[in-house]
Amino acid sequence: MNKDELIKKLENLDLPEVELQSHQRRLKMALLNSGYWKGERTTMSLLKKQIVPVGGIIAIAAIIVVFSFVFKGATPQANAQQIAQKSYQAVSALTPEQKEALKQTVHIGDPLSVLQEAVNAEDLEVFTYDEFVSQYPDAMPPGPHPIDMSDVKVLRFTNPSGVTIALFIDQDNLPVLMIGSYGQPPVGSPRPSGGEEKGLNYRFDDGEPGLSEGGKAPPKE
Amino acid sequence: MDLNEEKELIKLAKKEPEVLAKVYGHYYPKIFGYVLKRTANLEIAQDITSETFFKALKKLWQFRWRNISFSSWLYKIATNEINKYFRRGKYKSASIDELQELGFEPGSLHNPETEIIEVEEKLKQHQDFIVCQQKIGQLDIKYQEVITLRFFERKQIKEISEILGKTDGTIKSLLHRGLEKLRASMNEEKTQPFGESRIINNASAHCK
Repeated sequence: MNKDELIKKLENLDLPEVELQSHQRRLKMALLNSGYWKGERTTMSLLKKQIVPVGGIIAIAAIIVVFSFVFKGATPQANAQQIAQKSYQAVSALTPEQKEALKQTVHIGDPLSVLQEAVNAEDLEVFTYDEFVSQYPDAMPPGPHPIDMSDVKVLRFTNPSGVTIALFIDQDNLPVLMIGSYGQPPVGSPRPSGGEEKGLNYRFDDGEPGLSEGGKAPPKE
Repeated sequence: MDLNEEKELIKLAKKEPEVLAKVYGHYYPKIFGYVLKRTANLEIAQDITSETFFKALKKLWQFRWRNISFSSWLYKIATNEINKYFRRGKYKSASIDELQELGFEPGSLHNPETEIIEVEEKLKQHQDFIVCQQKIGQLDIKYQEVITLRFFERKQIKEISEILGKTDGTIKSLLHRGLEKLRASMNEEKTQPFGESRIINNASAHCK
C-alpha cells in the first residue's frame, strides 16, 4: 500500500457513530446543576478552587500593569490606574525625609500602600477636581482650599477595608490630600503649621530637608 | 452550525442554562465520538468526555472569541485530557469529586447494560476502522492526534492547527510523517491484539 492509497482508505473509512445516551443525560444534569449557575463563576472563587499559584497571580497583576501602560488612557479605569501607578513611582523616588514629610502632611499613613490599594481597586475612578466636587459635594471638608486644584486629579476607590477613599494627586504625581469615607471627618486634613492652617496641600517650605517652596514637590533624586 | 451561530449561542450559553443545554447537545456526540476513537475504551471515553465538558463549563466565562472557535476549544480540552491518559496509562478525572457532589457517578456501571451491548455491537460492525484505530494507536501521540483529527474527525488543517496550537506547516509535516509510519506499519501486516481493557477487540479485518 502506498501513501495515496492509505489516504484514500482513511478518507473512505466507514466510521462508527456511537452515542451513550444515558451518559449524555446524566452529564447534562450534572452540568446544569453545577455551581456555575449559582454565582460561583467569579474570579476569586475560581482562583480559590483551582488554587492558582501565587506566582501566577503576581504574573497576572504584572501583565495588567504592563497593559495599563501599553494602552494608557484607553479606558477611564486604565487612565486612573496609570495615574495611580505614576504616583506610586513618584512617591517611591522620594527620599526617606520627603516620604516622612508626605506622611505627616497628607496624613496618609503609608502612601505606597494606599497607592497600591488604588492600583488594585476594581472600582478605581479618576475625576478632575471640579467633576469630583460636583459629583460628591459633601465630600470636601468645608472652608477655602489654598491649593490650586485646577490641575489636581482625584482617584476615588474602595480600599480592602471597604472604606471609600478620595486621593488627590498633583501635577507632580504626588498625593496632596486624602479623604476617607464621605460624611466622616477627613482622613487627610490640612497640615497645621505654627498653629495656622496653611492649606490642604503639603508644603515644603519649612526648611525641612530636601524640600522646596510653593507646595511643589521637590526635585526627584 | 456556522461560526456566527456558534458565537451567538456561546454568548447566550454563558448566562442561560437552556442555551448551554443546547450547545452541549450539539457537541456531546462529537467530543464523545472523538475521545472514543482515540482511546477505544468506552469507560475511559465517558470519563474524559465528562471531564472535558466540566472543565469547559468552569472556563466558559473566560472563553473569548479570538483565534479559536468554540468547537476547536472543546477539542483542545479533550485532546489534553486524552494525552494525560496516554502518558499515565490510566485516567483519573480531576473533577471527579465535584461531579460526584452533583450526583454524577462516572463509569459505565451506571449505564443500562443493553446500551453498552448495543454500542459494542455497533463498534464491532466497523472492523476496518477498528484495525486502523489499532495501528494508529501504536504511533507516537503527536501522530495519533493529527491523523485522528484529520481522518476520523474530518478536520481541516487550519482547525487541527487551532486545536493543537501548532502552525499549519507543522501539522502538514506531522501528518506526512505520521502517514508514512502508519503505512509502514500497515505493510508489516502484523496486527497487535488489543489490551483487555479495550472494548474493541478480536479485530479480524485489515485496514488495507
